[in-house]
This record gives sequence, C-alpha cells and structure tokens, in this order.
Amino acid sequence: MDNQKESEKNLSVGLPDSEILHLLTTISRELVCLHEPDGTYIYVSPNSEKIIGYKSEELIGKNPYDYFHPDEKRLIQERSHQPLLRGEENIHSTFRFLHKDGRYIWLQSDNSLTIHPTTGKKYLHTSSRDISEKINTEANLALAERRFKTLFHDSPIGLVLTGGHGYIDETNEAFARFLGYQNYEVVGKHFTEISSDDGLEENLKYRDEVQKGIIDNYSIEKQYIHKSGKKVWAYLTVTVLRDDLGHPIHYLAQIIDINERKKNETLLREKNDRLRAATNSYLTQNKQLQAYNQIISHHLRAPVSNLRSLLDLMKESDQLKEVKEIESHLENVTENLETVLSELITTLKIQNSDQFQPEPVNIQLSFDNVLRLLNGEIKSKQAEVQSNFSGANTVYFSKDFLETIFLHLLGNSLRYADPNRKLRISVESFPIGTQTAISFSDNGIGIDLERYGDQIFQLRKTFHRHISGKGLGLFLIKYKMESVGGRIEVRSKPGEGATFLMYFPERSDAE
Amino acid sequence: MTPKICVIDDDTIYQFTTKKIISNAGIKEDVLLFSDAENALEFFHKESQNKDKLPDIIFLDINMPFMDGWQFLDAYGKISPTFPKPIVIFLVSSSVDEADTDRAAKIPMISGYIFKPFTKEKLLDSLAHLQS
Repeated sequence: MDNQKESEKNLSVGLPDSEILHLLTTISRELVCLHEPDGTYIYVSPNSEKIIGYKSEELIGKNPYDYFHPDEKRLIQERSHQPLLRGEENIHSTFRFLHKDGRYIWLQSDNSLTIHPTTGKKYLHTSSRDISEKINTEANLALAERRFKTLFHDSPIGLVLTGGHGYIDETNEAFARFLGYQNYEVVGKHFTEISSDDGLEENLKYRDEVQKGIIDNYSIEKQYIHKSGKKVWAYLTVTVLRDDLGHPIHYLAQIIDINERKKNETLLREKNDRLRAATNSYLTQNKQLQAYNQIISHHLRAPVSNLRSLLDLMKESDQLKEVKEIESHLENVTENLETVLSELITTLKIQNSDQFQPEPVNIQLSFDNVLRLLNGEIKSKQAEVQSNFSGANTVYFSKDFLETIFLHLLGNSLRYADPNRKLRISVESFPIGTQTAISFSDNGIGIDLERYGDQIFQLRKTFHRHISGKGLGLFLIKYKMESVGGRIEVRSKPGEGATFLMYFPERSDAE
Repeated sequence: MTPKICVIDDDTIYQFTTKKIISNAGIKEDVLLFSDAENALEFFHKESQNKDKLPDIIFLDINMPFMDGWQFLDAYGKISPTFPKPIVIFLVSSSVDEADTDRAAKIPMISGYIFKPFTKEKLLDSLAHLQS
C-alpha cells in the first residue's frame, strides 16, 4: 500500500530537476561542461569518462587548452573562444582533444555564453560530442579523392569523367594528348563530338544498358576523331558510379591507344586474305591438275593403248578381212582421240584464268547460239524447246563457258530422250537471293539417282565418245561452277526426265 | 585344260583387241564378254552354283559408267564365297594413278593390276596364276 502511494506521488509530482539532469548527463552521449571565461572547467557532466576518458573531478579546475591539439589551440582561441566572449552566437567548433588514453579524438561543440542573472558573472557553456568516426571517414574520402586526382591526371592511360548526359566533366593529359588536344579543349565536349560514327551505335547501346542498370561496365574497341580529323583506334572501358538509388552519377572511361595494333591487325588481315586467296587458288589449281590427270589417264591413255593394241594385231594379222576390220577400229579410235583432244584444249582454254573472265552474260543470247548449233539434231528428233529468261536476264559468268554448259545439257537431253514420247525441253532463269539460278528440264528417260546419284557428276568413260557434241562432262561443269562460287544440282527419277539446277554467283572473286 | 576367261569392259575396241589376243594365244574357249558390270553381276548371281558356266579368271576394267570396277567388286565379294570354284580376278585400267593401284593392293580378292594396253605377255602372265 505504502509503496503504491510512493509511486503515485512520483508520477504526479515528477522527478526533481537535479535527477533528470543527472539522468541526461549520464545516459546522453553529449559532454556538457561549464567554464570560466578563460575556459577553466567548473562543471563536467558525469558521462565524461565514456567520452573523453577523464572523470569529471579530474577536469574540474583544469583548462581545456591543455588538452587541445597544439595545431588548433590558436584556431580555437580566435575562431570560437573570443567571438563567444564578444557575445556572438551559434559558435560551433570542431577540434581535436586529448583523450585520457593518449590519442586525439575529434569533438564538435555547440557553445554559448551565459550570464548569471544576479551576479552578472559570465560563464561559457559547452556541449560536445565525439565525431572522430565521421571525421576519419571524411578524411579518408578527402585523401582518396586526392589520390584519385593524382592518379587520374598522372595516369599514362587516357581517363575521362563524363556525367550522365554524356558531356565530359574532366579528362587527363594522356587522353587529351591521344586526340591532339589540350585538356581544356576536351572538357565540356559531348563524347559523341570526338567519337567516329563507326560503331557509335554500339557505344550508345551499351551506354543505354548502363543507364537502365542492366550492366555496370563495358569494354569496346572504338574509333575517336583526332584533332587532325583522322580516326584513331582505342580500347575503351567504361565503369559507372551510381548513387544510392542506382542512378548513374559519373561514367569513368579508360581509353587505351590501340591504333598501332589495329593498323597491324588490318595489315595482317590483308596479308592473311591474300595468303588464303593464294592457298585457295593453289587448291583449285591442284584440283584442276588432278582432274586433268584423270582426263589424261582415262581419255588419252585409253585410246592410245587401243591404238597400240590394234597396231600390234595388224602386224600379226595375215588375213585381209581382219586387217580391214582393224582399220575401221583404228578410224574410230583416231576420231575419238581427236574429239578428246579438242575437248581438252577447249577446257584448258576455259580453265585458264586469263580466259575465264566473268562478265554479265545475256542468257537468252547464249542459249540461242547453242540452239543454232544443235538445230539439226533438234529438228531430226522433233524436240520442242521452250525457254523463258524474263525472271533474270543475265548471269555473272563466262559467255563461252555458259554456252558450253548449255551445249552439254542440250546434248544430254537429246541423247537420253524417251523414245515413247515427244521430247520436251524447258529452260528458265530466276533470281534466288543474291544469286541467279537457271533450271534446265527435260522429259527424257531420266537418271536413277538412287543408284547413280553420287556418280552423275563424276568423270566417267562416257566422255562423249559416241556423241557429236563437244561437251565437257558434268563433272567439269560442276567443278567449274564450284570454283567460281556457284553450284549445280540434279533432280531426276527414272522415266520422268531430269532437271538440272544451276546457281550462278552474283559476283565472284574466285579465279 | 583351257581356262574360261571373262572380260568386263565397256570399251568396244578393247573388247575386240582383247578377244583377238586371247584367240591368237591359242585359247579356243569362248570369252565371256560384258560391257556393263551390272549385267556381269546378274550373270554371276544366276550361275553362282554352275561350275561349268563360271569363268576361271576375270579381267575387270575399273572405269565404267554406272557401275565401276570397285562397285562390282563390292557386290561380287558378297556372293563369291558360295561359288563352287575359285576365280582369279585381275584389274585392268589405263589409269596409272597411285590411288587406284594402292586401293587395288588392299583388296585380297585381286590377284593383280594390269595397265593397258593388254598384251599377249600380260595375258600369259596372269594365266600362270591359275596353275598355282
């Protein structure tokens, strides 16, 4: 009961002022002191030990000037103490104070002058707190900034600081020199003013991704515009500095001069291209030599060995009938040999790179030339030939070779006509992407591609031995088409005719 | 015993001269002649168990349209183990390409490689294989 009464009394009456003050000064992190006008401590709040290491009784009668950092005593005297005594208000001072453990801590004080209402005596009132942690952080920041500035300006690598808008806030010697400018000429420019338009799109794309917060840095190779107007290659790395909300504040760009390397790269690439072209041309030549080797062994050696055999038999023979028979064979073989030789010469002419000069060739004109050549055969077979070259008028090819292909395909169609139906041949041209295609179809006996598909373009002994046409063989056609970047395909079913599809390159650098 | 000879080659003039060389060598037996390797293969299928019809020696051309000598050998090798007698095979070609001769050397079925022109001497040399 008594206890309850006591607490009720406390609640209604409240704590005495002295007790509240005591609580405040023990719990609070503020060191509250009262000083004589010369600074001597009259009162020091009981929490002093927690803040500056000294108990209040250790300081009473002492002067704070004994604890100030020697470098700041005069500063405090002039900037805080005297103005305070003159009656100036809002004096806040920041200074170093010797902690009892021997280190200096940073204190920040709010000071005021109080005048005793009755005695008129002046006292100084200070309320201080330890701000060492904050100061140290700031000092580190300032130091970091100084270091950064030194590094920034003395760096051998070009460095640029731009704001979010893309204008250059700061640049260093290395970057300015790289572009042939003075520092001050570069500052204030928008980065696009000194960038080449090549690849600028990529640059802006990355910058945009940074702005959106997708990425924090990027590296690209880009070209800047030197003061002289020429383009210079650089390797650029951009790092973004964001605020707490993630918005970019600054972009730090590091620019490394790679102009020499790029020049060498280009040279190297050109050399490499030339080398590759040379290699390709050697490979092509090698393939051609192999093809000739085949042609020579199959198409010259075979008739020559036949000649030899026939002559040997003739020498042995003593019957006129037999000799006559051998003679007629000799006639055939000789004719065949002449054909093969003339074909080979034609081929060699076409294969000769000086001879094979691709040019825009009018398809219709070439086809008509071939029709005229084979007119007799077409008439005697009563074949019907339709052509339509309105889809694409020209191919970029050799006129001679195009005619050779037409001659060969027409010859094939006439030779492999189906005896049970009228031979129809249809030739058309049409564009396919950047290429021009020509399709050549007939309704002849066709080819069983299931069985012979892989052989149709190979060199065979059916090298027109019994044909009047001067064809080169499908294999040479295929080979030639491929060597200039085109191709030839066949589609066929036995009894349904055949379609040859030729794709001619738009322009060809092969050769 | 007169050997039975089979010639597979699409070159009619070669066929003519080879037949002559064979008959001039005193071999009276008719030569089995094929211009097309597929026809030859059909024959071997049909007569695979007929000892009298099967030849003792084949002179096979490599380079022929449609089915060439290599393709013929592939197909022939699948049926020849059932034949009632051994058959000697010689490849005949005008090719001096090493790729061809190397390839031929890897095929056990082949007894030899003859470069054209075919002669009486080459015929007699290859027939000597039949005695061994």
